Amino acid sequence: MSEAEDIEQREVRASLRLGWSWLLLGACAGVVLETLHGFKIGPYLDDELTRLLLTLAHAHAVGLALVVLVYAVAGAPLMARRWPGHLLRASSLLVPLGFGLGAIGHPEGDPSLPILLVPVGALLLLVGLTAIAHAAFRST
Amino acid sequence: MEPTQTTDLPSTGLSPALVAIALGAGGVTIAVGWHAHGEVRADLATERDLHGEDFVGSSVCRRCHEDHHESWARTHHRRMTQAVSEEAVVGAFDGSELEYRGWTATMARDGDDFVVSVADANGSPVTRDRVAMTIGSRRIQQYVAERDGVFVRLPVAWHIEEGRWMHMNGAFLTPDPTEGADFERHVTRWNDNCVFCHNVGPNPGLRDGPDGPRFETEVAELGIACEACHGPGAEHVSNNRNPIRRYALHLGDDRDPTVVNPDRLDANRSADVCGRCHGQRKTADVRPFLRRGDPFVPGDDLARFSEPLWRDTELNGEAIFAARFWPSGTPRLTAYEYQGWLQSPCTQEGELSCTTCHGMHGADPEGQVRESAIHEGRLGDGACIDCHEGPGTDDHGAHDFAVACVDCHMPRVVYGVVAAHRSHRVSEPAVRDTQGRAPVHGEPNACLLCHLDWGEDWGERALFGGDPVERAVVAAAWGRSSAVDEATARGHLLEAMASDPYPAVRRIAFRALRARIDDAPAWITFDPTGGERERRAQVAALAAETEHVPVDAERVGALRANAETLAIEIGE
Repeated sequence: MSEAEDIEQREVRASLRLGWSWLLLGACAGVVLETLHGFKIGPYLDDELTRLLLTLAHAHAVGLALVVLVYAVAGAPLMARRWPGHLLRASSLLVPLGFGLGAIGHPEGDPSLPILLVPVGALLLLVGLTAIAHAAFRST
Repeated sequence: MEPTQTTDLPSTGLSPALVAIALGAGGVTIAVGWHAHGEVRADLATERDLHGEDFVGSSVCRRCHEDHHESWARTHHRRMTQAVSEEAVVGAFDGSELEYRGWTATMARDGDDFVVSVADANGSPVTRDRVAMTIGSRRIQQYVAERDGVFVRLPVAWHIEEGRWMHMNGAFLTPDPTEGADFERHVTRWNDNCVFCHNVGPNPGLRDGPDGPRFETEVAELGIACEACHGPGAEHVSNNRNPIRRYALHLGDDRDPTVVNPDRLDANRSADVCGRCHGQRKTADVRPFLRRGDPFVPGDDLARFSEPLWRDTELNGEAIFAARFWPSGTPRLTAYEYQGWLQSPCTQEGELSCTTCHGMHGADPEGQVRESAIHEGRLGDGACIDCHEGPGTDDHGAHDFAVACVDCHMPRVVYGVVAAHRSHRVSEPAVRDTQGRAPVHGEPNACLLCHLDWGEDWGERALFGGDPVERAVVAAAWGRSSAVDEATARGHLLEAMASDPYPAVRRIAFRALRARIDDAPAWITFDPTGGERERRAQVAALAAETEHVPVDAERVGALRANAETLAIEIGE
C-alpha cells in the first residue's frame, strides 16, 4: 500500500467513525431538544439564549458531521496530508461543543466562556476547507 | 469513469503557508485582544457624568438583559404610563355610562379610538375626548387626552379592583361638591405634573410663546422603565458592543461606570433613586425643571436639586403641606415613603434602603417585596431579622409570630389611591397609649388599628370623629382587624358608607365591608359617589342582607359633629 493510499484509508476511517458517531449524537441532541419542547420544560423554554445556543450546538453537530462524512467520501481521496482532515474533524467537535457548553451557567445576554471554542473551531474549519478546496483544484 | 487516483496526488503544498497564516492570525488576535483589554480596563476605571447622556429605551436594554427586562415588565411600574392601545386600556369602553350627580360620562369606541363623552345634567354635550394615554394598571387606571395643545387627565377612571368606572372626585380626600357635579374639578394638566414621575427622562418643555406659555413635552419612554433607575444608557449600549468589555464585566467585579446599579449604590444614594418619585419634594426654582426637565440622574444626591416636603415646609410663607403629615411628622399620604424612610431609626442608625425590602426584578409584582424580605411567609420579616432578633426574644407580648414585624412597626396609617397603606417610617408603637381614652386627631397607634375597641372604643371614635385621613385608614382597619367582632365591624362600616361626608372614605368602608363578607356575593353593590338618598337606600339593602350590630346613631352624630373637615387634593 502506498503512503497516499494509507493516508486515504486512515482519513476515510477516521472521518467515517467520527462523522457517523457525531451525527448520532447530534440527532440524539435534537430528540432531547424536541422532548424539552414537547413537555414544555420551563428552565429550557424560559431562557431564550440557552435555547438558541443548544439549538445551534445541535444544528452544527449534525451539519458538521455531514460535512465530515462528505469529506470521507469526496475529500479524503484528494488529500496527500492528514492535517486538513484533522482540522475539519476538530472543528466539527469544537463548534458544537462551544455552543453547547456556552449555554451552561451563562451570564445574562452572553454565552459563558466556552463559547470561545466556536471562533477557534470556525477558524480551523475555514483553514481545513481551504486546504481541501485547494487540493480539489490540484487533483487530476 | 475511472476511479480517482490517489497514488500520485500532489501534496496540497499549503501546510507551511497555512500554518504561518494561522499563527499570524492567532498572534494578531492576541495582540489586538490584549490591546483592547487594556483599553477596556482604562474605560472601566473612568468615572462618567451621565447628565446629558442619551436614552435608548427598554427595548434596547432587552437585547442583553432579557431576564431583567422580563421581571421588570411584570411590574406596574412598566405600565405606569402607556400610549393608548387595546392592550393598555383595561377600562370598559363598551358604551358604559357613569352617572355622577346628574352628569353622565359615556365611555365608548369610535373606530380604533377610545372616547370619553360627557353630558351635563340637562343632557347637553360638554366634552368629547379621545384617550391618548393611560396611567396606572394596579388599582385604578386614569386616562389622558389632548385638549388645546396640552394633555389633561380626564375626570373619570376605571377602578381595576372593582371593575367599574368611578369619578375622580371620589379618589381624593375631599367632601362631595356642595352643589352641582364640579365634574372637571380634577382635570389636571399632564405636561407639567404627572409627566415627572410616571415616565423616563421627562421634560415638560415649557416655552414662552406670543399667546402665552406652551409645552413641547418630551419623554424618553412612557412609564417607569430601565433608565429611570439605571440612568441614560446610550454609552453603556455603545461601549458594550465590545465583547471583551462585556466579558471583562462578566468575569470580574468591576462596576460599569456607564450605567447605575442601585444595588451597588450606598443606602442613601440608592434610596434617592426611588425618592425622586416616592418622596414629594420642592425645589428653589422650578422653572429649569419645567423648561429642561428633571436634572436628577440615578446616583446623584437628590438634595442637589430638591428637598423633601415636610409638615412645616412653607410655600409663600404658608405651611400648606401640613395636612399631608400626622402631627408627629409621619407622612400620611402615599408618595411620601422617602420621608418616612428618612425618619426611620433603621435609616439613621443602620443601612436600611428601599432595596432592602423592595426590588424591581424578581419580586412580587404587586408590592414588589423581595423574596429575601419575606420570612416564614411573613412579609417584611426577612428584612428585619438581619439586624433584629425578632419576636419572642424581647417584649413582644403574646404576639410572637402571630403578626409580622411590619404590622406593628409599619402600620397602615397612609392614604393613597383609595386605600390604606403602610407607613414607611419604621416606628415603635407605644403600648401605654392604648390604655385609657386614646385620643383621635393624631397618628393612629398600631395596636389600636387592630384592637379597635381598646382606648375606650378608639376605633369607633376615630371612624366617625377623626379627620378624613384618620377615618380612611380606620375604615380600612375595621375591615382587616381580627381582634373585633365581625358583626360589630360590619355595623360600623355600614354606617361609614352611609354617612361619611367624603366619598373616598365611603369607598374604603365599602371595600372593607366586602372583605368582611365571604365570597362577596353579587348583591353587594354600592356607589360611594352617589347621592345621599341613593346611598342610604343601598346601605339599607346591604344591611338587610348582612348580619351586623347597628351603631348608636346618636353617638355617631355627636362624633360627626366633632370630626374635622379637611380637603386634601392629592393622594389619588
